[in-house]
Amino acid sequence: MRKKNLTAYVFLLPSLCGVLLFYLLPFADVVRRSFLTAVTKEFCGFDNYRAVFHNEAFLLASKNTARFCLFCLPILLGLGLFVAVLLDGYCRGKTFLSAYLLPMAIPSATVVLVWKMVFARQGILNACLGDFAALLGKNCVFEIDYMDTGAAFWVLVASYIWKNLGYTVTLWLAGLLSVPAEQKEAARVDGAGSRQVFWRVVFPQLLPNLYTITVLSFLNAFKVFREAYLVAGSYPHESMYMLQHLFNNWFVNLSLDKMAAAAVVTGGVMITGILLLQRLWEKE
Amino acid sequence: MEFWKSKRKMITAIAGFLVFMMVCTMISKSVYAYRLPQITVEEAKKRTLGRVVKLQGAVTQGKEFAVSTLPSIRVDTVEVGKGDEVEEGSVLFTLDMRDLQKQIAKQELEIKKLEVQIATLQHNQGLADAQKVRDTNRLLEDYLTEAAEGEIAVDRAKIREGEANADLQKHLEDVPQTTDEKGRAEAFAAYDDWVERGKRLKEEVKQLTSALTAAQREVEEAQAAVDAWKEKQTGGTLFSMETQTLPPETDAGLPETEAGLQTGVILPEAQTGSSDATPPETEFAPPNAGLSGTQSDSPDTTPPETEPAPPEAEPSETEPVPPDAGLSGTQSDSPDTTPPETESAPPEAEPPETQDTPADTDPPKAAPSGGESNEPGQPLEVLQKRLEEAVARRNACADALQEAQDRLQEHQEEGRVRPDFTAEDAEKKNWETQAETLRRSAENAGWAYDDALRQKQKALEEAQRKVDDSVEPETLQDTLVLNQLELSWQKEVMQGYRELQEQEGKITARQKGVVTAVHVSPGNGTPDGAAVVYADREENLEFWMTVPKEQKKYVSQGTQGNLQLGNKQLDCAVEYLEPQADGSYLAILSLPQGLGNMGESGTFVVSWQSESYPCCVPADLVYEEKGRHYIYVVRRQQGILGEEMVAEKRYVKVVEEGDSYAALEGGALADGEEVIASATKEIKDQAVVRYRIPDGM
Amino acid sequence: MQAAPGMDGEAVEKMRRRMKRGMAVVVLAALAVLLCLPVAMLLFGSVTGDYEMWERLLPMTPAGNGYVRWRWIPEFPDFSRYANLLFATPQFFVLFWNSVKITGLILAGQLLAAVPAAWAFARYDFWMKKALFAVYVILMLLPFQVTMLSQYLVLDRFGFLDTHWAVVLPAVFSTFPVFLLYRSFLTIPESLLEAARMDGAGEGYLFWRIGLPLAEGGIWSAVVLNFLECWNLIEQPLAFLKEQSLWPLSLYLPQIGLERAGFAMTASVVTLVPALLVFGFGKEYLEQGISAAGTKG
Repeated sequence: MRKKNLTAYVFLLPSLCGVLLFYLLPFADVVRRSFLTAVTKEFCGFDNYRAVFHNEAFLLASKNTARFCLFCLPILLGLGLFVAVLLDGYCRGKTFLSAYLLPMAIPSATVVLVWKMVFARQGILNACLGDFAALLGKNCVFEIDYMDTGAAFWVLVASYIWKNLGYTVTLWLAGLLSVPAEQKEAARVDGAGSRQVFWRVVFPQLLPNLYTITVLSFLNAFKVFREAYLVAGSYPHESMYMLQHLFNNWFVNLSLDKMAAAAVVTGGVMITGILLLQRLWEKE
Repeated sequence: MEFWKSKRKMITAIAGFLVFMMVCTMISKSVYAYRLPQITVEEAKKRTLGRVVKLQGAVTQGKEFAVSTLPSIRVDTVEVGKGDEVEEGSVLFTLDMRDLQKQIAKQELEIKKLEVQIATLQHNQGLADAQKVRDTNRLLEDYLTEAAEGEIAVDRAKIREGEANADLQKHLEDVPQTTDEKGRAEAFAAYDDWVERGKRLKEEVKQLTSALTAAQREVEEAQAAVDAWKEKQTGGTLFSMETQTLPPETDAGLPETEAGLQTGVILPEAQTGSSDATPPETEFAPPNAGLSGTQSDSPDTTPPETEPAPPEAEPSETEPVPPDAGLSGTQSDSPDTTPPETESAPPEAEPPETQDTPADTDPPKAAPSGGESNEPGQPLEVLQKRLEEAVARRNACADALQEAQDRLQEHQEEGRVRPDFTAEDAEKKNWETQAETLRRSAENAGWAYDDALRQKQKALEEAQRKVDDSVEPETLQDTLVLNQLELSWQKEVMQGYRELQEQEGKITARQKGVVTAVHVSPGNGTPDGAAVVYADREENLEFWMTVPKEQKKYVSQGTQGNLQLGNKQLDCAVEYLEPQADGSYLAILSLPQGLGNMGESGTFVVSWQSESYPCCVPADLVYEEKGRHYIYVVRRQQGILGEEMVAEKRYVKVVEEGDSYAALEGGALADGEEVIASATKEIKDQAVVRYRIPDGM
Repeated sequence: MQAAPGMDGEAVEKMRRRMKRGMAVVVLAALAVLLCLPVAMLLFGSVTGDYEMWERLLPMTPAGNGYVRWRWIPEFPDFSRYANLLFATPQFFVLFWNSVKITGLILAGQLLAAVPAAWAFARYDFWMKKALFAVYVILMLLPFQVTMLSQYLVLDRFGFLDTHWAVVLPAVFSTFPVFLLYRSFLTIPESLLEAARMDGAGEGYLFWRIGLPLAEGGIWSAVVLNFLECWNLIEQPLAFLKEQSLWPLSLYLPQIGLERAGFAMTASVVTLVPALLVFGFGKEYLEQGISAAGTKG
């Protein structure tokens, strides 16, 4: 076993070195900074943490980020599952999947342009909604300014789902596919309706995937920041203001102490989250 | 490498794509460069700007002649019009003869009127003149009178002044005698001395009197002693008992007060020694002992002692007078001592020792005298001697007293009075008061003199003024002169009319020329100014040109230039510049004789050179837009492709514009900055550009 | 649903199924179309003439009113923009090659660093493995901004700032591919390895000859995913690269304002192409990899 260990380290070495240098060391520095003041570099204990927890912007950003994650993830996962089920059940063609995966290939910068056009106050979405309403006989005018109101949140959600649906679907599909067909057949033979088949037979087997999918989706949720930043700038509407915005602005304003403390806090929260998840789903 | 092979398709595709991009890259680079506007540049230079200004103008007449005549004569005919050429002597216009006649007649009347006026004035003038002379004479007389009277007053005042001054002077010289302080003090002192002396004398007398009385007593006692002895002889010793009261010491001076006092008196005498008197030592050497010795001597000394008695000189002698001790000493009982003491009594000698010593000297003196006298059982001879001595002493005393009294008498007869200086003082005061009064009057006299002088001056001035006034010129005369002048003028006018008459009213030109203005018309009167104006064709021609406002700065008085008239050229300078109503300027230069014809147009070319400007660029590189000027400057910047050149539109201010160059405001271009001179394509602001590739490369 | 007379239960069932399928297809198709809409917009927009584009977008400006109405087929197609972009804009290519360089280096580096690491995590047990892995996962999830400053300082210390290395190096050591590959390495049965070991194969051999080929799909999917990620890098280049000539394409696109929307779209499309290519080719691997990642829980 010792040999194994050593070889393991050999394999691990390059990555570990880099990670150490470019991630762990900086993070350690961040932790150090979280205990110092920004300008004079004096030790100030937990002052920064206190400041951070009382900082409105931080609270807002955390709230938004949390809200976003808690809101989007289930939707995405659910929708993804739904589509995956449909695909699996009725349409095995790869074309659909490719179509779904396409958005992932689109660079954020590119798609931002489209978002700008769609979500502007006089944008296409409003136009379509208006048309749609006209079709239905109602003559209401949609003049929602998505960027500057609470609707901004929905913009993010939409962008996120649009981008990641394909990915999620693929993941779910893989999971679905790994369920042996015989099991399903057997269940059906036993007289279970397709719903029951699904929930009783298939789903439990998908649970292990959930961890991975959740983690990945979570990761992608953070990436939404890019679109938000490109569309609405450093100081977007309140409902869009995420943790990354905050960090970015703090960086620009050189409020490094707060940033460090918040980083540590965020890191801490995520660590706890991950560990929890790990505990829940990792059965290693 | 199956791994790779199976991916061939993908790899091919990707590779193909990359190759395609590569190709595109290169193509795009060349196309881009090709498309860039290629420019040439110029740098700003320091230079002067030149400008050539061409002014258009025409030749006009210079000299003009006016033909005029007497005004307000009706014109009959006008022969010429504007632009007509006239020769010397050609008729310009003709006057109406009838009108002329009328004018002449009027003129004659005028003249006549004036002549009459003048005559009257002259007559009046004569009268006035005579009057004036008389007045003047009178005033002159007044003047002289004033002068004389003034003189007299002044002289009188002067005399008075002199007198007053003299009086004062005299008075001042006559200072009353007064004794000065020292004298006064001396007088007082003397008087005091005299008084003292008197007192002393009185005292002396008194003392002597008492001494005498004492001596007398002594005598009586001696006598009594003698008698007693005699009696004793016959039996009785009454007196001896009494006389034994004396202390045992005989030689030494017995401390009897009287004796001491006496001796005290003696001592001062001795010490005075002021006068020649005594051999002091012998007398006073042993004050305590053997004063008897002294006493014996004392009689010798006394006379001289008495002499110095009344030394008037020393005031200090008054002090020792309190040898009252001495005097009282003499008043004492001891008769022995009295004579010397009395003698020594008026020793007004000073020595304060008199006070001290009395005690010392007393006893010795007293002793012998007292002792001896009272000794019982003495022989008769002794007693008799004593008696003789006492008598002698008494006699001496009486003499002295008499003397003293005589002296006193004498003294009193002097009858001195205390010196009284008050009279002196009063007199002095009077004198001073008087002096003051005199001074004042002298002063007054002086003022009076000044007043008199001034008065005279004033009076003279006034008189003078009056005289001057009376000699002033009379306006009356001006009027006369004026009239005379007018007369002569009217006569001239008349002459003019006559001449016109002779000319039959024809007005001709004096010389050749061209009529430029005609201000007469038939039926109207001739104007006041020029009737006809004509100009010389050939001489004094000028070139008039218009200078537009923008070009004014290039042309000013004296600006040299080249005038082109027809095919002739001339270098000349602008002589005159005048602004016109519309902002442009009129420039005039005169042409030399023979050059140019009237009305001929020509061009005046001015080459103007500006000062040196540091930042000049070719003028055609400067563009204008909405009133602002701008140029394109090359700016280097970093772009994605590296350093690139960008055309930058820069607004500039044009300080001066020449023909081919324009001067920009300093600082418009930094050192080395290049201005885009030409470009293959139209340049827009911030467009990327590149240098022109020279042809053939 | 009422069975038509004459149809037996199975036929009904079949019809039902067909209808269900039809519905599903419809739904799925609709979704697909919806998702692909923006791409289509881009494509068509890129050939729309400038003027027309401006017209269309006019309502978006304060001056305009009404709505932006999208026309799919432009009235005056303008391919000249492509020509312009591809043949006359060298700046674009500078940026393009920047992107290529960055992406290539990152991918290469990641393969070198992450693959072995994932192998180590997957197949070996070692001290602190769990903890380390947890750390890796956390690092993966941490937003860039958290460590931005400190990374900046580290890079500055090494002098990497304002060079491409500043972007490449941290990305090379990203832990995301480790995570992905770990999953796929896990699928390899241990028995296989054991067998090989017993045959005398060294660890390196195991890795090289057995592990890699078997996990090919996973590796490719990781490559594809990361390619997409790298091709779209925005935050890191923005923070670490000051020199405009070093920028990747992804950074340039957002700079183009809406007034040049047409040009932006054209540029976007061109930027899109490599991504699409990679995606196109890697699709199957992507799916494979994702499935592999997804299966073993």
